[in-house]
Amino acid sequence: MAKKFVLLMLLSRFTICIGAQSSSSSLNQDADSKFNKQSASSSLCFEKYITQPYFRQYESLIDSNFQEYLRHNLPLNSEKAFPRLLDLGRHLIGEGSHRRLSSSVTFSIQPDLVSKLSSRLCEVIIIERLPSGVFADPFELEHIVQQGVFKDVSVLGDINLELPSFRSNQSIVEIHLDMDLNKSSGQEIVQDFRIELPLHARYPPLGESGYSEVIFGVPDLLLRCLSLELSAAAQSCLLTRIPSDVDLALNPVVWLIPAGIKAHAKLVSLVTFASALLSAISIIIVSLKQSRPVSGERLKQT
Amino acid sequence: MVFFCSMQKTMMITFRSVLLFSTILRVLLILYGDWQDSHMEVRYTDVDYLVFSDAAALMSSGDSPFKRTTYRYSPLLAFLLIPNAVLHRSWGKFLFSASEGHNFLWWSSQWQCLYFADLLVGYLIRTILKLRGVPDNVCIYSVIAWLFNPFTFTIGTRGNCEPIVCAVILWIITCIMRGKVYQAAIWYGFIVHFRIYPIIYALPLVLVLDPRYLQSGQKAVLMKWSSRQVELPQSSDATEPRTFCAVLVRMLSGTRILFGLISGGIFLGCTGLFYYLYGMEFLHEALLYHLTRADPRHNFSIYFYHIYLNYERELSIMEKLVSFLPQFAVQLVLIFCFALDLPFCFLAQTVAFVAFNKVITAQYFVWFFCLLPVVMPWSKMKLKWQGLSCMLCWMGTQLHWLLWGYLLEFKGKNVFLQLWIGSLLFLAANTFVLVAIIRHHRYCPIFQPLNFVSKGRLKVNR
Repeated sequence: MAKKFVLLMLLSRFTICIGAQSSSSSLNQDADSKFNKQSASSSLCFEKYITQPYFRQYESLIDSNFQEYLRHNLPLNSEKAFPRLLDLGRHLIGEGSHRRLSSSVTFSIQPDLVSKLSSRLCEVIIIERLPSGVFADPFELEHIVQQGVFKDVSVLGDINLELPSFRSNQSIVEIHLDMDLNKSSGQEIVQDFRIELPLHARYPPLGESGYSEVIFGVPDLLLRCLSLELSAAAQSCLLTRIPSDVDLALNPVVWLIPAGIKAHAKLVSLVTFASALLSAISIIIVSLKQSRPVSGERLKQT
Repeated sequence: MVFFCSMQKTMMITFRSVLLFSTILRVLLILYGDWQDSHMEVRYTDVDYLVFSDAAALMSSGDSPFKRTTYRYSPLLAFLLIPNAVLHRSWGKFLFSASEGHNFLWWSSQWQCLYFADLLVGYLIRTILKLRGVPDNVCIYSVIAWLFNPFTFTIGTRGNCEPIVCAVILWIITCIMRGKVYQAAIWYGFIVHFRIYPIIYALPLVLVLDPRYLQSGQKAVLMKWSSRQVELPQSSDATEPRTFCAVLVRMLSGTRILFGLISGGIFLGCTGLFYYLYGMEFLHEALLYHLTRADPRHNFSIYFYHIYLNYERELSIMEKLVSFLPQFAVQLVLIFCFALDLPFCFLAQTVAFVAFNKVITAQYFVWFFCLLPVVMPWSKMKLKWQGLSCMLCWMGTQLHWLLWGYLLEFKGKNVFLQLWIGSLLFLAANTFVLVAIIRHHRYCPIFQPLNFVSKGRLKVNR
């Protein structure tokens, strides 16, 4: 289970810290240009799902390729004008093959960015790279969207629900959550939210111990804000990652999944075939004793 | 006469009462199912129902139903459900069951479909038994064995489509018994396309159309229930020529050839049409998947752990043959022993087919539960204690398996070996039950030999 590493005192949802308002237009322009420089290319910002272009380029999810994709399109920066991840808590809820991955996130947005974003519709995007031993059911997630828990969700990559893990590839779950940033500009905002992602275990590779470990990494968090312009041509889009100031030394989330034991293979195959043969012979003998041939000999009193 | 009429009326009311009570039961179950879906971790509604509902919605918007992951049915099923997305209330009366996640009106219309399919199976069971002269009270008990079987009404009310398949299989038997052979052939072609497993009935259907029992232009007579203990005169088989040519001529009779051509034509026609519409995706998902399915995930089959332990390597041809041999051998022997007693042959074949299959899920049990009532009147098995021991053995081994399955899937314990042993015990129980059914059955071909003098022969209708 993950252990929280708390940097700042946690505040309740939509709490606002009083701070100096940035009034200088030159400061705004400066922040804007820095933001735009560091933000994603406009085409990526307008994609329905941020990870979709990755799968147009690559067939399957490989961590190094995906990290490179993010670095290229959404470079990190150290400007204080950008959102910062303050706290991340992760743990698994439930038992057996069907569990929920819980993530609680706290991040802050500085005043000059708040003023820029106050006139926009914003959402937080959580990119969960699932290890190969687990999968998310797209239809189950669609149901969650219909219930209003998430704004939108998509599963990309290997969405085969039935293959064991050694025959399947990794997948990504991209979750979108509405973020109703307070309209008061000039104040720092600290936002927190918690999500639970239902996951299911695949049959893992065979082993000796009888269990297979599936280790979850840290999700990638992004903030996307669209202007409220009615016409698409006039719309502007801001997309940025939400990095953390310090290294969040989280304990990894580990899921132990029962696995078949290699040493059983020969005995199981032998006994399986022998049982099937024995049952078949029993049925055949009784049938031949009880039957009347199809050639239609007379019926006897039974 | 008056007494006979009042007895008939009582019997009719009793049959109607059975239908009424079974309807009430299904309504209550569907209400309960909706509650369970909303309040409990394990859902009542079958996942498959959501799958083919989604596929129907895709089809109604012009998309392929196979875009819905794990949709492995004929597009016919999605097509049948399209009006559910549009007409809701009225179409719901003709198709089957509900799912959660939709509005109550659509949901309430869905259960009416299922009730209708279940009711139709009950009606066809009674029809088949009445055709063979089974008394009304025995018919009622047989119908009850279907309508109040916990497996059938549970699986049905969970939104499973198997009752429709069962109804068509029983309708095919009814058509054969009424001499409507070519109508049976058309339905048989459709149902094999719809659900592959009825292909196992191909050979007994051909064999039962024996020209010594059923010929065009001559009436065939059904063997009545009352004659099940009567010794009939020896047929003239001994005097018929037994040369290879004579046997071949008998095997390749006009009726048999036409039956094969019609059913094969319907099957290929449907397959060709949907291949034209949906391409290789249809062939793979609706046909090839079922023929080559080897699911390593836990299920009742004895093969699941063997498949999982060997999934990382390719099985040799010999290994595949060895696993197929028991199934093949049992099917052949059952067909050649019991084909002329068509309902019993179907039952025995289906029980064996399910027991030896590489994948077994609970919905497969409905395939033979619908055939059991049409065979029961010919069984010598007494409820005490032979019948009860069969039921307890079969249900007990199933519950035992489910216990280990729960520990594996919902508690995350490594109990693969115990679960596999549970599968072996379940196979043993299936074998025990099938052997008991065979031993206690009074073999009775559905048709009398043509040379047997009797009244009221049926004519083969084209």
